[in-house]
Amino acid sequence: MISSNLRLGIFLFLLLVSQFLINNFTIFYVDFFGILLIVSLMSGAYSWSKMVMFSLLADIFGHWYLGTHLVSIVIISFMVHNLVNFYRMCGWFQRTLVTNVFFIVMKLVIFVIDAILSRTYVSINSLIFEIVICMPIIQLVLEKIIIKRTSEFVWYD
Amino acid sequence: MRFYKLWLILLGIGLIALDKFSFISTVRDTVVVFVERHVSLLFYRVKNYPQLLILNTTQQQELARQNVELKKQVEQYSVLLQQTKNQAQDLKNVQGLNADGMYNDFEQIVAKAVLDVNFFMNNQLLLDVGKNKNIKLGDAVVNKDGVIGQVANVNQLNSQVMLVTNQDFKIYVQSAKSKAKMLAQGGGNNTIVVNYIDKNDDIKPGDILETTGLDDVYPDNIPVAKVVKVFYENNGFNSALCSPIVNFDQLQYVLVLQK
Repeated sequence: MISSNLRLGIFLFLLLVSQFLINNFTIFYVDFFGILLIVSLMSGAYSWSKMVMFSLLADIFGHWYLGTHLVSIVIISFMVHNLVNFYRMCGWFQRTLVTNVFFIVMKLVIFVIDAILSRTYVSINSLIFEIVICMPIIQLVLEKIIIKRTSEFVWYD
Repeated sequence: MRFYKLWLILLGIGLIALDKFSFISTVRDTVVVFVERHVSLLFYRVKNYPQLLILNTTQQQELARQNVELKKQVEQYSVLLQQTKNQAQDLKNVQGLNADGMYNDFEQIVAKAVLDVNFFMNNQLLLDVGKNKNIKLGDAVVNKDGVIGQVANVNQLNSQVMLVTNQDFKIYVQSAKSKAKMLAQGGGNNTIVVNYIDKNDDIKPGDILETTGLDDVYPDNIPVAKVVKVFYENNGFNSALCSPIVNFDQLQYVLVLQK
């Protein structure tokens, strides 16, 4: 459990640094914590306290309104409730496809919230970058390294 | 569980409203922008520090070469500055030559000497004025020290001066001390020779020979040469070896005198 949290902490820190570097020094504006939220949600290995913490981190470091990610992830959680077992049976490629679909849905919800609050930002390049490159990598790392053994599934309620 | 999620949604909406309609958003954005700006600056410095610190060999050589060139340039400018100062002083001296009315009978033209080794080897001097400044053949050339020579060739924009050391140059001089008259002739190799000096004339090494003013070319009492050695010969006359008063190597501005 300790090693799992340590790996998770290191991974979160690396995600934070990577997101900062990419957002500030490239043309892309990525939402790594959004991907993390979606993958965690789909895999079923999560606790809502951690989800709330991650979503607040995503809002703070991604310049979204506080609570935006939380609302969107809770809304998506209603949709993916019955897909968790299916997701677990899938291979890496299929999982990537499924998470991408719901990630796009999450971005759509965030866009709607931003539009309601009169502040929208859309970057197709960033979205493609997230879907094609970031999502498979983060999903792979999260499932193969961070959550390595069943005994380390500490995110279950 | 559903109620739990509904509470989370309400929490999220509340946070959004709080963020939107309170100062939290401003504070958060300010802090984040502040942090990001400083981290970006740090990142930029870290990224560029090696370029500043570790110069490769080519850049070091280039800097060393530029350093040498700049030092040479500084030396050149120093020399140029000194030359300019000397020229200004020389010009002032030449222009002040007639302060005591010495050259009132002569028309005076200030000219610049062109220092050319080839001319010096032939005991000649090149001036930067010629027919354009109404320089004429036979005009006298002097400076503050004494007689330099006589104009021997005039072109449109320059003229050549036969120095007093030229073997073709002759001038009638007198001893500054005894006023004994004698004929001096250029001897080459920066020397002037005076032959047929009366044995009664008291000429000694160190005596100054000056112009007489009898030749209508030079004003009187202008130093020409300094006696270096006196030869006592068997033909009833003495001879003297002299050196010119003017140092031709340091000529800058000269005065051309026309009767």
